[in-house]
Amino acid sequence: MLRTDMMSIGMVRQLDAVFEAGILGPLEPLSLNEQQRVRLTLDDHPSQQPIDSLSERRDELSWLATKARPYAGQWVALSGSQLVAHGAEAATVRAAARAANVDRPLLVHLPGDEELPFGGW
Amino acid sequence: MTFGSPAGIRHVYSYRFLDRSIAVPIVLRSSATEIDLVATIDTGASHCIFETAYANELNLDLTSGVLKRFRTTNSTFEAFGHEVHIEVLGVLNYSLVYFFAEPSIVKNVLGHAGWLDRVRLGLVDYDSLLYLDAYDQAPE
Repeated sequence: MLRTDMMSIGMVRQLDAVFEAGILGPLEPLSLNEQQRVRLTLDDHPSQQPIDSLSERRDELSWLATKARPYAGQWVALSGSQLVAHGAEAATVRAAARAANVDRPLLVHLPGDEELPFGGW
Repeated sequence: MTFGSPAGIRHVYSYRFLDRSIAVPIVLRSSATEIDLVATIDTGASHCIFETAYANELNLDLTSGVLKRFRTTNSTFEAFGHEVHIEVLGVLNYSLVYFFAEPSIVKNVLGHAGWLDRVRLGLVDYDSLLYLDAYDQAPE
């Protein structure tokens, strides 16, 4: 995290920056005048980071929470909010997803509809 | 009441309950193969254990792994251990994880050895918020 003191107007703000090839670049636009001097305080632990969308799989988990019931007991391959393939075998479902040009589907085996809540080990 | 990021943990994730468990998307990698799946966080599980089919999809020779017997409250089961990369919400670890010997078991858990013991984890279940960071990432 980068803390900047705007000396000319006394304003203090914080923003994230990245250091690449010897240059410290802000990760958001800065409205500074050309040649304006600022004071920097460096904190090398960035602020809370968003998780990239592929890691979050938010749409896929939403599908699993709301639309999975008809496919209970099956394997499903999901890409975003789309059901790409489903069936009884993981390998077959994954192959079908690849055939549909989805290289990295979320591959999930849905529990059977009759399953009781998991009570722990 | 608002709960701030505990111990400077950087990643915050609004999780969903699937099958009445805290579910997170994860990636398992072995050599050049990777598979995207959903696992549940289980602080009571001693190890990370995944379905047999995921070992097959990772091109692992299941039974060549380390055989381990686990107990549950009223039974036992066997699983085979293999070293893989586990990526959970952008946090990557290389760990020995297990795959059920019995392919009919539908359960994928992130447990203590190999995952919980390598991350900083916080939960605010009332808000469905999960805080996660690598253990070797210095806190803010």
